[in-house]
Amino acid sequence: MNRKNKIWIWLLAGVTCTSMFSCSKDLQQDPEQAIPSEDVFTSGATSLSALYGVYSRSQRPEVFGAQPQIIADYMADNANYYGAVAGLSEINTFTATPASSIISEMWRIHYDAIMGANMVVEKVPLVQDPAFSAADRKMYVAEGKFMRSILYFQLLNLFSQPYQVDKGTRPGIPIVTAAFNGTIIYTERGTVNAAHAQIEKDLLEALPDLSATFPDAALARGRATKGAAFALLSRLYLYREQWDKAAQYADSVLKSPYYKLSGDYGFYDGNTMEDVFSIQNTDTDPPGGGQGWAYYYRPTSGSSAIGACPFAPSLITAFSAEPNDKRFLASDEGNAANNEKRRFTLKFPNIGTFKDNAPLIRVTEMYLNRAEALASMNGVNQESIDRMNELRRRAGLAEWDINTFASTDAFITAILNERRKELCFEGHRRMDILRRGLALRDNDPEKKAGAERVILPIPQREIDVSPALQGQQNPGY
Amino acid sequence: MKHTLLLWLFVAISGMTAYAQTRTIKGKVTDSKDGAAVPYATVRIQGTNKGTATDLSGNFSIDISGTQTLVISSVGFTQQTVKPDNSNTVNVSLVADNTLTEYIATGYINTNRVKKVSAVAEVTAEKLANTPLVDINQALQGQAAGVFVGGASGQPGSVQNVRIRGVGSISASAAPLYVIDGIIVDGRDVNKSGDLALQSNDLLANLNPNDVETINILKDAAATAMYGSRGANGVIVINTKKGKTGVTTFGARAQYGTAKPSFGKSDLLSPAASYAYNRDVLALNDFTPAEIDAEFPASLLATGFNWRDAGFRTAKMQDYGISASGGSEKTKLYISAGYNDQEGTLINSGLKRYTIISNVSQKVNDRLDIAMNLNLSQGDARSAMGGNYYASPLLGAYFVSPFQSPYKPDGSLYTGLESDFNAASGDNFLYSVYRNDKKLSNFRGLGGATVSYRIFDWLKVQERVNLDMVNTEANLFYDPTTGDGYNAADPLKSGSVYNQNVKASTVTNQFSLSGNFDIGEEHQLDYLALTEYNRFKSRSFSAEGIGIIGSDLKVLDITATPQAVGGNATDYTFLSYMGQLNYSFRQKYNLSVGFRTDGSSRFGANTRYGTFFSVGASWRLIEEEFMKSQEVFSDLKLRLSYGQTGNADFGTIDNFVARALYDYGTSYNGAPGNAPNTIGNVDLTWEKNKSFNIGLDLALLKGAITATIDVYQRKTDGLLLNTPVSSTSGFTTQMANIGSLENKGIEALISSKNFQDKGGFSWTTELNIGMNRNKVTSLFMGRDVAGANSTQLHRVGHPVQSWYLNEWAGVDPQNGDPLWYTADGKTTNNINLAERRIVGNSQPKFTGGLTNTFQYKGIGVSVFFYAVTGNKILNRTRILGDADGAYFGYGYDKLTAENYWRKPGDIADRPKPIPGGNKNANSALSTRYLENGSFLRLRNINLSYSLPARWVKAASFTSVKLYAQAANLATWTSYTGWDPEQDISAMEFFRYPPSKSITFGANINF
Repeated sequence: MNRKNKIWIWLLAGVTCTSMFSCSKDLQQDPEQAIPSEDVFTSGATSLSALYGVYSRSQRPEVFGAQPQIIADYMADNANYYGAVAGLSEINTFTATPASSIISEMWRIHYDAIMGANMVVEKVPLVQDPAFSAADRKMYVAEGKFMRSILYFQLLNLFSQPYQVDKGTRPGIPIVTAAFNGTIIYTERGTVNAAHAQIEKDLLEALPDLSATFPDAALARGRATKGAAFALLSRLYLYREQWDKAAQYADSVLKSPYYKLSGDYGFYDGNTMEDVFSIQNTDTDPPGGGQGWAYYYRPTSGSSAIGACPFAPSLITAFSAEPNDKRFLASDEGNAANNEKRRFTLKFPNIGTFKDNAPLIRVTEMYLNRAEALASMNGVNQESIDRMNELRRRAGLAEWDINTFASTDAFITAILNERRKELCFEGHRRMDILRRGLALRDNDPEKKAGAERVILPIPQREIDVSPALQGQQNPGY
Repeated sequence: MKHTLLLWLFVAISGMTAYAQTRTIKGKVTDSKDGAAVPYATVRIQGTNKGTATDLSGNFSIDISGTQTLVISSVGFTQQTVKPDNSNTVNVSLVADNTLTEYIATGYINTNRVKKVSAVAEVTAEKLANTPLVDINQALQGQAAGVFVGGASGQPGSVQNVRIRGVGSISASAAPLYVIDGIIVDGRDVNKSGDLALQSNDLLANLNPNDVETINILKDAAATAMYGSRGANGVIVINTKKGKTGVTTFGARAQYGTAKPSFGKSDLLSPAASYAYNRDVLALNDFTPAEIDAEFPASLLATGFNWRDAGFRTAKMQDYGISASGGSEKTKLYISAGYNDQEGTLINSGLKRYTIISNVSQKVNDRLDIAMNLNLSQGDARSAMGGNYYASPLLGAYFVSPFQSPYKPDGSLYTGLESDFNAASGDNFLYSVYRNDKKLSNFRGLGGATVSYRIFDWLKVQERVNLDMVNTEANLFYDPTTGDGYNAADPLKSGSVYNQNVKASTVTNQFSLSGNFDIGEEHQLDYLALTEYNRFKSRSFSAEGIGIIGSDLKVLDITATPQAVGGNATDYTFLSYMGQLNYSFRQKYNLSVGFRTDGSSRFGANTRYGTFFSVGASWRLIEEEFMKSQEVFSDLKLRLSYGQTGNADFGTIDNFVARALYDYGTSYNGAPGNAPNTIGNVDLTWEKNKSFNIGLDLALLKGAITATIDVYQRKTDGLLLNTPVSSTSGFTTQMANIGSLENKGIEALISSKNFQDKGGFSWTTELNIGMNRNKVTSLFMGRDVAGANSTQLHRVGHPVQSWYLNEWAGVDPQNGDPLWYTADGKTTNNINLAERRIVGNSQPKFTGGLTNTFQYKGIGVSVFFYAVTGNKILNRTRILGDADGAYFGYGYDKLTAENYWRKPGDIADRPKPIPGGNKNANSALSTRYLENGSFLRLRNINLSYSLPARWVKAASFTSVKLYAQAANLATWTSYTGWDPEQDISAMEFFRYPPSKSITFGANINF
């Protein structure tokens, strides 16, 4: 072999070795315990898991794992708050501050779940997977739209004045519907009407594509269905005083074969026909953070429940007007966080793992929505009376008739009172009071819709980082 | 076993050796340049395999027969052949080898001291061998100017913080890059023990310091730019020993010693003093004498117990090793085996290390060279729990009543769970520490193969493949009867076994072209072009089982209930192209330019590749005509360098932080779900470092004094910081390159041959000193960035990791309240109303080392001092031990009982002690516990004795050296805590203290 050949062989060997190892494509290295966002939406299966991720992120304490829901009851007159968390106490005393980490986390984690939903809505239609059926694609997108609707709705209710204040023209919340692509965008607050319009649009678009139900009981209640969308639309229109539509969509649920009033109150955490939409929690997959519904709503018990939210005296008074209400009997006494002996609800009994489902929409609410909407349009009417009687019968109370009420106002007040007793501790009370122009507590005019402190402050850190939110703080904070 | 082995070897070797009765040649080998002795030079009889090496004074003695010729060689010098005359004395003056004058290995390429343009600190084998320290990093402490070394813990083998020229990063790693035998190794904590109740081991603790030839610390850009995006925080280049041409020499070494913890000035309050203090505190708080007697009856004194002393011990340390080194013109080899057993001073802690190294090279022919390095090691560490666990003797000694005996009346040990055991936790560490295992073993296999072929002088092709494997095994065992193992709620679930395995590997492939061009006598030009591929992978697996019925079995299978499994994996890749060109004119003007392009999987898609460069130049003024007439300087060289490097070591930040990611941690109703978990940043890239260096190398008085002085400025831009983003993105922060900081300083290394007489007495002094000033120059929107803990922050205009505390205003003489300063200069007893200010910094302003070495014939004494000044230590240990009654009734620091407030008008140091604490007086957010961390330490005294040659020869050895050394014998400091030697965070919290040790050893060559 001559010298020149040797050179070439050596060079070749070296270069081969190098190129064998050195592939610049290795620089595009994928992690092994996480998926690059661009690889998530590549098949039906991965799309479904991304959708489940949205539900899962909604389980958390800051979303549907009871923090916003207990706030709705204790800011109003159903519950008290005795827990030790300063951020939650401040909300109880209407002294929350924009610096509150509880509030900024609630804000962020809602958007965290919403971003997951936005990804599903935008990316699922683009998935290149022949085995991924068109029906499933549409359904996943529709579920994503439902989830961001219910998330935006809850966020709006916390941070914005109800529609009743200036007809929905007050500032809403930043609505982002585009999938996050790495570039931070700064969205303005818009109006309450704009937020409602987005929620309505998403729900109406979702309706045709949602499944009527699922064979698995947990999924039939735990995933978005047509019934859930009807129900949420009914609630939206009720809050907006579009009575006809509120009544109409409530009726859609009531006429559905999948939902039926339970005979008794054993349905909580049961995934029965009573539930229209419940976020599913399990022993191995509870809301997380060592929290959950029973954490707040059960008396102190060693290291698990903390007895933070007993009945407010006002709620006990409401129940005592008509004794032997079975709904009141579903409660017991125990030690509150302030060491007083107080009354606690038994709706969420699981203090082991806090696995009680979040009962976000029950068919009962549709009875109440329809009764209230019809009464608001037509005054005292037989259908409303009938719907309410079905609830009162179940509660073991005397039935009403068309002559029970002298005026429409008295009737509506009575329906709201039933609504309070029926849905107490499920996160409805605050909005039910505000939208009706009442005071959250004790007829205090400072605690009515339009008053500054009935809504939460926009987190200061959001205003600091977002030019679009500068100067957009809620008045009074 | 090992003793037997050594003995056997000695016997075997002595028996084997036989030599002819011939004449003895004695002589001395010196450096032609300055007449200095050349130690360890090889003196070989030509044509045979017989030879010897010179001692530290350059002397040798060898027997030859008749007219045999001697060949004298040493690295860096031209080989000489001498024919001894009848005087039987040979004095050889070796001439520096021009092509390889005192070469300095910088990883990829060797330079030499004459031509070098960069700031490189060298630490030689003599300074590393035989130290009583496990870890090479520790051995560097005080040995190189501008290099800070501080251990996270005094446990043998614990992680060491090394910072070169200050702290260069906030969120990413500020540690230097490590290069072992030319290969970049991953220096991060691969043990992943962060969540476990044990301490990680430093990876370098697996390397035997006795196998290291040199450590070169690359400091300025001219040297570090070869490492491009990874060189910003300096580079530590470690070269293991290689065989030398000459007779094969064998070495055996043995070392034995004992160590005690260095508690500095601190002590626990004695039981008797605690008794008096407790009673006085109750009296001050209006307890009646009867109540006081009931609470603290005199009978308690009978059960007084010194818990801290019980948690520590006199630790034994031993080190044994054998090595063989030698080679012919064709083959060179170095092989060595070592065993090190270092007990920790904390009970039941320690490290055992086994090392084997084999470095072999073969010159196949004139052009083809092949070489193979293999370094296998196993380090088995045992922790006695990290410092801030109740079950740790460190914290445990303070959280138990000083009147609580560890023994029950029947003589058996309390477990700590008994209701009459008076301690804050249900744990008696004297019981649990021996039962609960905290074991961590690291296996490391580091090996490489090199083939090089010289085609022309100007073209050498080299291919090199290297593999670095680290297998880590953590075994935790909690005995069901101990406080940590017992499950009160469900006793059947008591006890647990936890195993974690981590497997990390780095594959490196290097292909390079290099050579030098011959363009006349006056010009020298050489170059290196290289491509490198470097891929790191790590996999971990862990499992835990609970439910053990008392047993000595400690495997997962014996547990009743599986508790948890886990596993994770991560990777990164670098692909690099590097080039360097060195030009020298008459060795007077030297110029070096280098560039490196790095691509890394860690960076964002938009910024995946970066190019770094450096320029360095040096001017040997001594060679100029105008210097010829002066006699002051015997060497004078000016160096200048500037360059840009990067910091791509994300440290604890995830390797994939640049990518937008979904993770699978989110299931729903039992079905797997995934959701966004990493925001990503397509523009994310390395931190950029621009550094400028001016250096002066000089020698005075014919080399009696040499000095290297460097002045530098390092500016780091694009610091990786979490910046807040609108959470409408679903995230609150995004990692971005924003912010900058600056380090500037002066370093000096001065060596002086103070005295040398003909009788063989010599005295040399070596002083190194480094001064560094660090300042944050910009941050995201100028906002403060929280430090690693709530007591520190990073603020523009101040050093990184500045202490951010309320200023202690002493004690209110009226009522004994603690006082702090408010913003308007008044005082308050409510710490929440006080003002937090920047009150100093955890980084030293000066570090230095001073070594004096005395030699007389075979006797050597070396005294090494180490000093650190200008840093402040937050002594959080006192928050619990000196807390004005906040932890009433448990163990106290002895300071607790000094000058505390007793009555109105008292000017006291300590507030009125109140059981349960006095108004947050012991808050960590207060300068009350911030102390001056300066200290001067007698780091090491080494006394050695080389046996006279004739004795040695009689025993058939070539040299026998006996030595004794004392480490950390004395420390001067005002610090009141356990020991002022801290890691870079300078936050003392029950930190395992360093030790003081005395060791004896013998090195034998034959």
